[in-house]
Amino acid sequence: MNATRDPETILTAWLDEGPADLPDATRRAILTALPTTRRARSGPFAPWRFSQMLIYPRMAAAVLVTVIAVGGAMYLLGQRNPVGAPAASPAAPSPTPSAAVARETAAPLDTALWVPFTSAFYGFSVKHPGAWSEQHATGQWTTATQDDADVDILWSPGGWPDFSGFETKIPAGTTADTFIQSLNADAVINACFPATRSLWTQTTVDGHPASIAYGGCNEHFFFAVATVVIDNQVWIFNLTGPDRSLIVPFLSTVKIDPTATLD
Amino acid sequence: MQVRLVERARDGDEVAFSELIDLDGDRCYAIAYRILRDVERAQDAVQQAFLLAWRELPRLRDAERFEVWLHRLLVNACYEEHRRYKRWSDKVRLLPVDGPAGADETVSVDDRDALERAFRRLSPEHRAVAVLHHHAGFPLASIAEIAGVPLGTVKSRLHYATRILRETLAVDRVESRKVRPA
Repeated sequence: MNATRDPETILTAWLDEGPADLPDATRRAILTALPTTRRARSGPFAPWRFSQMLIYPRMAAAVLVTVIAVGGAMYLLGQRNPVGAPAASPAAPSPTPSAAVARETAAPLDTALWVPFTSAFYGFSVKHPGAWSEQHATGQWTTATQDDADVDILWSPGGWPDFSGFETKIPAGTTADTFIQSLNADAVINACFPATRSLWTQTTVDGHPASIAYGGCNEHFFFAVATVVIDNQVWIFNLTGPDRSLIVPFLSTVKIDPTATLD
Repeated sequence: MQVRLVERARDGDEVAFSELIDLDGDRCYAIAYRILRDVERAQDAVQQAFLLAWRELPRLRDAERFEVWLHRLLVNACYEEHRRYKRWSDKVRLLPVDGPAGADETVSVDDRDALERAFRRLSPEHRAVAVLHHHAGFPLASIAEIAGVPLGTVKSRLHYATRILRETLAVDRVESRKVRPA
């Protein structure tokens, strides 16, 4: 008799077994922790930890920005320059044709007219288009807290794309590759990000060896990550937006002073 | 109503967030338990997800996306709980559970045991898709958003998980007949 039962019915019935009410103790624990839980800011910047990235709110902006970019991306990003070219131009992987199209909207930018920004914590400076906003880190970024408020962030008038950067120490006993891969583990799982750093594009930033990788699985969400390792320090720069190759002109303006970090 | 609560919670209203917990907490807990198969870890995952939601809510611009967004946080919290637990549980062997002999009830117990064993062998990613589909009733497109993977991946994970569980039930019936001849 039971041999005739539908396995999917059994499976569904079995899954329906078990507790279904959140215990009061758990509910109280959540509510108790609320007042001491530091809240994120509402500004449109790129959180570093991909597992917490809010892709959906960015989708509409992505479409809008991409459309605008076809006719005049420079209106959003800064001045168009027929002469200046990025110092480095790494080739990026093309996860989708639409991603490739989006990257092709990039045009040479005249970074000479960009506005300088100096990090108060992380020993680097960078330039950005004059219309962009600055948001200084409010504390020291650590692997323990991974607080997005502790990252320097620059964002365009439309809120997207944005550029962020911070520096941290590589833990003792850990190689740079292992450490950086651990930071990007969520992006590898969720965002078509290269699993190993050996697959990243090699370049230089302010004369230091650096590497760049590109992530994003569909036409709605792209990002680029660059890392610069000097001794036991790593600087991480992140550009999120429909044109990931914008990270290159940004990186061409970066100056790093390892002695100026506060950690 | 929920949208208004989300908007208020996003603005820092703890009472509104408490009401969101009342609305969604049970369902989140039920999903977490079924993915993790452990009461305490499910509680931890739900707590982690809601606290993360509280922290990140200011960035949620479209309040109507709250449900999918919250479940995404929850599923990720379940993955993290699973990984944390697995670090020290890899060497723990699950003891076989013998159901009582009998007629229909015996088969039911056997089914339950077989499913439990097979389910624990699935990856948390496969479990999540199976639970979100078979238990929570989310459409596959929503599951793709929650899991952060393409729709095709959801379909293949669901197909794989369902096939494994179906085969488990079929094998279990054969084994049951072997040891309990009519």
